[in-house]
Amino acid sequence: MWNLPYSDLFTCFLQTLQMVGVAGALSLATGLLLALLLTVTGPRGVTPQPRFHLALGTIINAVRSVPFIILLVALIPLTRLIVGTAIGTEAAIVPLAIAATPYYARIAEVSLRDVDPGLAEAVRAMGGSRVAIIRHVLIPEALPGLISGFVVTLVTLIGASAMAGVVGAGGLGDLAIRYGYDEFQTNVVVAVVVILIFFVWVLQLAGDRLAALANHR
Amino acid sequence: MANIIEVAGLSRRFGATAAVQDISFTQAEGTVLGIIGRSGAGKSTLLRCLNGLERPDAGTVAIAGEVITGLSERELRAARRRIGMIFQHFNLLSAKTVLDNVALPLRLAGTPRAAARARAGELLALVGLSDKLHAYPAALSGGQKQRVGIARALAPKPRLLLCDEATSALDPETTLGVLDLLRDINRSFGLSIVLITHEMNVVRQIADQLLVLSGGQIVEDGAMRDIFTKPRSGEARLMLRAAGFLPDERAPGEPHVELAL
Repeated sequence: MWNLPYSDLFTCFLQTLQMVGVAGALSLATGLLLALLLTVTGPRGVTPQPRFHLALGTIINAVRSVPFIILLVALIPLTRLIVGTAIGTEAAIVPLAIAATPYYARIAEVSLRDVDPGLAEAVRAMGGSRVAIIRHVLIPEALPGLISGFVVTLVTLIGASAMAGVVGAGGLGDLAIRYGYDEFQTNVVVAVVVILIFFVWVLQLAGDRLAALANHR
Repeated sequence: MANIIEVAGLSRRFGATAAVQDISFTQAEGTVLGIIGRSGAGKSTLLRCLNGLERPDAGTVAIAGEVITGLSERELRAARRRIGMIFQHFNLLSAKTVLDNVALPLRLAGTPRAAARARAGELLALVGLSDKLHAYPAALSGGQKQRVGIARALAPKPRLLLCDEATSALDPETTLGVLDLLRDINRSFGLSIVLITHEMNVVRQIADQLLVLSGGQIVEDGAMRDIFTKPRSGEARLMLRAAGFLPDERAPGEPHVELAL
């Protein structure tokens, strides 16, 4: 039906899923950690550290300024060090995760910074430590925003993963370029776009549901 | 009777401005102390020095005989568990149920979940909210939120309760209900209470002792009744008059200094 390369489509979908899934999980963990560091060391944080805050913010901004396609190439030596090779789906995960981490860090920071400082003060007044404030105030109170922001990050990762074909990572974007651009098979491009639309739609729906469940305000 | 609070020579500056300046007072255990002053008088800073949320630049604070100024952060956390605090905007955690909000200070002190929840349930019964245990704070009215705040502050059995403009966000009827509850708790448990407010009406309902604060300094310290009947400071007279407790007492020909304030 429709003369589509179904097995290629399936393989490439799995490759995209792998790249977005693993890079997403890594950026969630490290991005959230960085966002927490930014928040607690910020001027209104529980342990203000102006110099550390400035240094971390500068590094995050610097990484975010580099276009992904350049990051992809520039990080090849690092990728080789971590994965053992600079080519393939696993290799693309390294630059994807490194690009998505500061991105999510900034998005998560906005949600964390919006948490009413009075709540942290209340926990401090009841004898809570900084760790208690992070665990009982910052994360649960910011959770709806942290979830929504993570969905935004995942969708951005899907877009960025299309460029990962440059390092032979495969994925849906790469498939669309190979079949559609190189071989003029427009139907493959359309199929890829439809799959991506559906993928993003499901992610967004699931994310919105989860965020609503976490929101008790 | 022993003093629950002994403050001597307390000062705290923010940059060039002195928020509180050379403040000394004592509060007898089991009494209610009202600290009144206009916004910017230093009430909030003074209150925060009492549980070490604010570290003073000079002076000492002793709570129930323990000097808390100069304690390390860790020691201070332990000391704070014996001092409850409630807030103008309640500061309840929106992501936790009412029951878990009240159980939180106990959980932080290492009490097992079941025991903490059992105690939280008792306290919520005490403040009349047994039917709201599993509600989230967003579903409560202002008065109910402050009752949860009170239950939470009482959970670790403190000897002192600090109230930061605790009724300022409430309507007059609800304010009376919360003040009655505080008075009941003060009487039945002998809990000492410090209450900062800018409303004379609030201290009149509940305070035994009154401190009048102006420009970061104490301008009057005495029994509430004495200050209401014979205010000595201009600030106290002005605040009483503003609240309608004193007639305009200016004699003809007296300079109208107070109007210039």
